[in-house]
Amino acid sequence: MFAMKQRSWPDGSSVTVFVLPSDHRTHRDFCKKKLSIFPNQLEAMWYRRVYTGTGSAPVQVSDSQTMLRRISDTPGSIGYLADDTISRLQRDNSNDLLKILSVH
Amino acid sequence: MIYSRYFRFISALLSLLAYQNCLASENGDWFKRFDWDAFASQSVIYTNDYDFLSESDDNLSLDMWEAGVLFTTDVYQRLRFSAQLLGRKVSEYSDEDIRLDYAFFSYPFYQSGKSTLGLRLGRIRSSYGFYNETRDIPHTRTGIVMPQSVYFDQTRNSFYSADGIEFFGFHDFDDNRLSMQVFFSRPIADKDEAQEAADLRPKNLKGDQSILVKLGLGNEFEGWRAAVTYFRPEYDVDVSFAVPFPPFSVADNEASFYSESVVTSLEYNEFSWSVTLEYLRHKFQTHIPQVGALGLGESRSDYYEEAYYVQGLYRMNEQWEGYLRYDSSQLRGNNNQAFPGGYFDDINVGIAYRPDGHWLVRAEFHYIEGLARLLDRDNALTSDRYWTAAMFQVAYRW
Repeated sequence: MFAMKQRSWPDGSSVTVFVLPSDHRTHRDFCKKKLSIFPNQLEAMWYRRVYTGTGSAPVQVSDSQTMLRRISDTPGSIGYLADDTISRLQRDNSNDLLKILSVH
Repeated sequence: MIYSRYFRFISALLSLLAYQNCLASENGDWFKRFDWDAFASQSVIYTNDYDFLSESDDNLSLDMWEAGVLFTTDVYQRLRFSAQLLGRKVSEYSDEDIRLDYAFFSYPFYQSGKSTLGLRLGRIRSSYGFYNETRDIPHTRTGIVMPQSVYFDQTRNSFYSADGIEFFGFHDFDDNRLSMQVFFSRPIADKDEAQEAADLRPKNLKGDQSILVKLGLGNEFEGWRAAVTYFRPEYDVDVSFAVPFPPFSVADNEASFYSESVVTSLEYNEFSWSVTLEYLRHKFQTHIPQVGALGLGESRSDYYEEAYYVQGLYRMNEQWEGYLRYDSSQLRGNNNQAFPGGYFDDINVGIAYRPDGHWLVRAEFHYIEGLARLLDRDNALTSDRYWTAAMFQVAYRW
């Protein structure tokens, strides 16, 4: 989904993908540890989709707070946050609009 | 001089972006999303014995620069428009440095969860090989220059984008994608590149028709991916050539020229390394009716080229990567005879450093035997077959 290959959920509704800036620590960790790819490789794939007209790039947000807000506000969206932010959310149970998936 | 062109280029980009932003803010469903990227690079090239993409023979040359803006907007619902304005200098004898490299509408007329069928219309960058579509963006390339065996710069503008219509489709299953593209077009002929197109020294080269078919299968993330591309652009040529006995000149405006390529591409990706192999089988045919009419022999001549590169890329971490590449091409005539000057073997090694998401610094060294990928318009070719090139590049993207 983060390679922008899959554009819809199984029920057919469209996906909006949010990402942090390429030099953000959480983005770098997410690419390397969860996707097993370096950030510049992932960006090259987005470039290919966008400028061949066969897909879109994800929506970039500036920081984790904005990521959290945009995911909460946008039905059918997906993004990622650092472990400590997720732990805080789970502890506070502060946002029932979010569904948290742990990826190991 | 170079910098006045930069300023001209940047002003054009800013006007374009301002106009698009106005459209985006004033129209509800129209121009709903607008993405743009821009890049600029400056290279330093030093070569011995020949000029390569710059006036670099025994000289530290700053001639080669590239700058581009790419933008895409969702015009209405699924109808998308993408374009690239490119500024590029690779030869002392090029007149036009700024060009609309591509500009096309794209519409997926069928989309399901895993499948898409669509079409593109306009000036389209051909999907030749794995990397032609993104060859100009320094941050998506492996080195400062593309492997010249398959992605040659001699006729880049004439060969790699064209006006036409393309049908595309893909289907995702598991982690793999099966894709197909069929592109019908009229090739663009760049007048500065005309004399590089054949040994005819044509006075005029005009695109006639072209077809490209590409099939691809595999995974870009990890493991294997493969593709086969068939590409045949045809051109009308006006030629003027000397006839030795008795000495006089013959002009022929009915001549034609076509190039037929089959590129087989294979790549294997792991987290920290990649290996890529692309093999090109290339045929050129020129037809000069006047030659036959004058009784001067065959009016058709065929040339064949076999070219390939094999490249290993190692990513040391997210900032440093290095590559090693062997790049080779060999031209042959009708009877499979090799042309003495028609080959090119390049062993090159390079390193890249990405301090952050914007900057990119690269250095590479080429040891080359053969002259087949030198620009004729920049060089008086001699019998010296061995030459070297050292390159350094700084690139920035917004």
